[in-house]
Amino acid sequence: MAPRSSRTLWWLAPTFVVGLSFVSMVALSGPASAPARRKSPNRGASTAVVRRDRRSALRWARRPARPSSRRGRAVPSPIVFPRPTIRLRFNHALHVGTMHLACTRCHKEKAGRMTVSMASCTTCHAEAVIPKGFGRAGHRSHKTCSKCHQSYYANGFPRPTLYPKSHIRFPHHLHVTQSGASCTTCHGGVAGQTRLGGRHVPKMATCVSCHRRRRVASECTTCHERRDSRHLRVHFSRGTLKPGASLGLLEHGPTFRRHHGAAARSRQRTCQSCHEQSTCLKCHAGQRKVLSIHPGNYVLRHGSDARAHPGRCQACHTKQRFCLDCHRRMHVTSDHPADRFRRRAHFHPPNWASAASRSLAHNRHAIHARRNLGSCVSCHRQSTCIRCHASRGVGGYGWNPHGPGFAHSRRCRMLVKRNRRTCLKCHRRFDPHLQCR
Amino acid sequence: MFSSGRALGRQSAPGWALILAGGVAAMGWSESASAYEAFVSADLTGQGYQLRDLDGRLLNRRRVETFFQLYVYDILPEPKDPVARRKVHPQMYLSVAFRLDADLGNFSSSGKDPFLLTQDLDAGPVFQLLYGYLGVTGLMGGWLELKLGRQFRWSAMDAYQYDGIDVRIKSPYHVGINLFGGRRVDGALPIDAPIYLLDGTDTVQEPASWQPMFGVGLFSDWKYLNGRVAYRRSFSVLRNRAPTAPIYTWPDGNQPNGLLDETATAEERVTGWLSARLWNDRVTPYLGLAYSVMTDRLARTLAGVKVILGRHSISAEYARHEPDFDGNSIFNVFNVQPFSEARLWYELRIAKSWSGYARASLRLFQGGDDQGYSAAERKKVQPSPGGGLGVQYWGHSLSGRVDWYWQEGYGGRTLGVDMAWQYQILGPRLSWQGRLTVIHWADDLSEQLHGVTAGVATGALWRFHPRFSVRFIVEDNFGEFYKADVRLYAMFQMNWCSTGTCGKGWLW
Repeated sequence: MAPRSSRTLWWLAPTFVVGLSFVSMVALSGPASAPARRKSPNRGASTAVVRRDRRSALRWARRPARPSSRRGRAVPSPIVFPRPTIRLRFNHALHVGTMHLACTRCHKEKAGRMTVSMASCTTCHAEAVIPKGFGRAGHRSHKTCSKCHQSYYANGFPRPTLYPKSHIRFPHHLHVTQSGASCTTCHGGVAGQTRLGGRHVPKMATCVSCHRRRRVASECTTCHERRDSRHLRVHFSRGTLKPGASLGLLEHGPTFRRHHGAAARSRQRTCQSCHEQSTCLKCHAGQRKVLSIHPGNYVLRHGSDARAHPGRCQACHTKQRFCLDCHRRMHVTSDHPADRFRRRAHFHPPNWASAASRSLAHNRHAIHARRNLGSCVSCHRQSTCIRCHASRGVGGYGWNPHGPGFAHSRRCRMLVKRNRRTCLKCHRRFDPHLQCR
Repeated sequence: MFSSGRALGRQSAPGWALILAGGVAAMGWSESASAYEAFVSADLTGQGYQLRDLDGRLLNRRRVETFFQLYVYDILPEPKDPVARRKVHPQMYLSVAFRLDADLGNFSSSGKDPFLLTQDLDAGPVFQLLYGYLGVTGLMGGWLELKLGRQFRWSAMDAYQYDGIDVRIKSPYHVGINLFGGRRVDGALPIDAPIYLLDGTDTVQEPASWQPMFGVGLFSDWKYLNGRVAYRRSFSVLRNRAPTAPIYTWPDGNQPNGLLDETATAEERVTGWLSARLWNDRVTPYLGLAYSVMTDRLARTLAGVKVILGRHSISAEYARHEPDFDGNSIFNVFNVQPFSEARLWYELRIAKSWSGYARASLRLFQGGDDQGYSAAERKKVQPSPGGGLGVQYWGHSLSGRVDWYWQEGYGGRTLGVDMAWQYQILGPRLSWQGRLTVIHWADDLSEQLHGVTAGVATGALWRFHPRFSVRFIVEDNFGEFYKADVRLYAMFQMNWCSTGTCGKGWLW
């Protein structure tokens, strides 16, 4: 075994290196949101603005605006809540915490979103009006504008702050008027925020627990954007929406594909919020070669897995039909008319099966057939077994496959009672061995 | 790539696929408004490769498969009264999925080589209706639901397909009753899908039987407890056959004479499933059992628990399997030893886009207790340990995973590494996909079957329209057995729906 093991290591070593290279490459490329952050115009522009506004009375404004998604803090999914592009300074702590302004003073619901218009600002900040002759060069350094705006086009107009629409259906007015919730129920942290972040949205668990407590609908489709009336929309430009750890068994972790059986059985209706039945069939129907299921060159070495994982193949392939169909074409079954025994010798080790001897030493197939008949039937059919195991009265050798105590077992009685036809494949109708005791 | 002059008898599948593709495309561009919602999806997949048989001959295999699904929701008009619209009201929906398969090249039944024909198996249907049923919801204030037509169910520890009716009666106490019955799909009809058949019988020797089926289930959909207990029985009825006509031949060439039971049991089982959601889904234990009444054996047992602690999740599972076959098969008396398996896996969300896992398993196979076996074979239990490690990255433009795995014991040794990736070159429009596998394996039965094999698959996914995509993949396998083994794979996919967000974004 030693030479073979060393050869294996030699083969596997480059792959480990490639694998680690892949991991390193991804690690060095930074987190998923890094490109968006690097390309954001906030940084360069805001630095320049801060330099020009050094003597501004608003000291907090010196710090560049950026999303408050700091390491270690739970941030909402960028798929459901696309990252905003913030080019504005706004101190919620000052306006809400110190001045006690109501949220609705600035935020108005429009088409399901709480938006802020410039008019809300100018109500108090009378100086925040568009100066005469705006649009000519030079207005970029206008001190009044720079108190809030951080980034400008070449013509002097400030770049807008963009809050992409979230993929959640959340009518604010219904929640405030019908449930009696206040803004801080969900956006509690905003009052202390000195910079715009746009990340103060509640976790899904908060929404679900409140919905359940108040006995209102808490299905996935209640809040998440729908593809149709029954299914969620899961594919977005930022990625695919997948259940997280808060959904327990449904978490689509790295091993979910391998171990999703329990989740599918437990919460079938929840699965159907995103998937149709055909999603299951695309893999479980066992016809399509899927890139991510079987490893390469699986046809060559599938036999080993079929014995080691009895039952697992059956999740997608029928035990007999799928295998036998191909095996017959490949001439690896005993059904092939030419030179049957040479082929058997080719496939099975010595002393595998002997019609002439009753000794188990010459019939080593018995232990494998008892243990894992699924592998046997991928090449053999009933007729193969009946040839030797049928009773002598019908032309067989009478090798009893039932195991000790079968005639006295409940299994014998149940089989005879439920389907006697099967017994008659090996026994004559009045065979004395056919009776259960 | 897919043309073959030898498969004229079965080449209707690609033709059908093209017609369907045209129809769906036409529907996709139509802008007609309707009260109902419709969703149509079609996948057209072609594969081409060669396999070498034991005689060293290369067999061509060209496969074309069309997978079609159609859903129509909210068929009945909504109540005009806004108050009534808010309440549960009767509604109807239609779900259909079918497949058109064509095996061409040497694998076609019209091939001239008699040794390549599989008389009984290949006679199966090319057109397979996987399911097609009409569902009614919201009857009797939402307490009654119906499904009528071909259905498949994964229920508790059971899976079956049948043509018939399914009735679900709910109650305000989180418990409901499920009654179902009809004809079990068994390959007897030209549109049957053989993928669901419990096999073990020879269709050459005995004719397909008519299999009526009925069952009853009790289910709970309480938020803390989900469970189902069901009883199901299907019969095997020999149709259109004289009472004394033989249905198979004995080894001596004779046939059983005299009356055979017209009706016998093909399947009879009691299944159960129970799972709980504790501490806000942080702890979820589950237990599943499948008892085969006919063979008096506990065919399947599955018990486990998943615990989530912050970024860590640990799962432990025990499975016991003692397979049973169709009641018409003699295999039920041969398969007498169960095997059991214990699995443990741990997952860690390393960072926002990173996750990793480690898993271990131990399979326990029964040894041979009879005299005549070798000492190793007589061991009471033969363990087969295994395990794996992996890491997965899910970024905005790049996603991929690397898996290392190992298995020892019964079946042989397997040691391998697998790497798969997808990189978005032009956003969601164009992606590069690939997979690299290197495996060492040694079969424990055959001295010849061992070695190292490697496989590489690479291709592109081009979504040229939010509703249409094309994928091309080339796979090559090589190692000590093959210098090259090329497989070509092409897939055309389209999705369309009448309302909702389908037209606004990417559907997949």
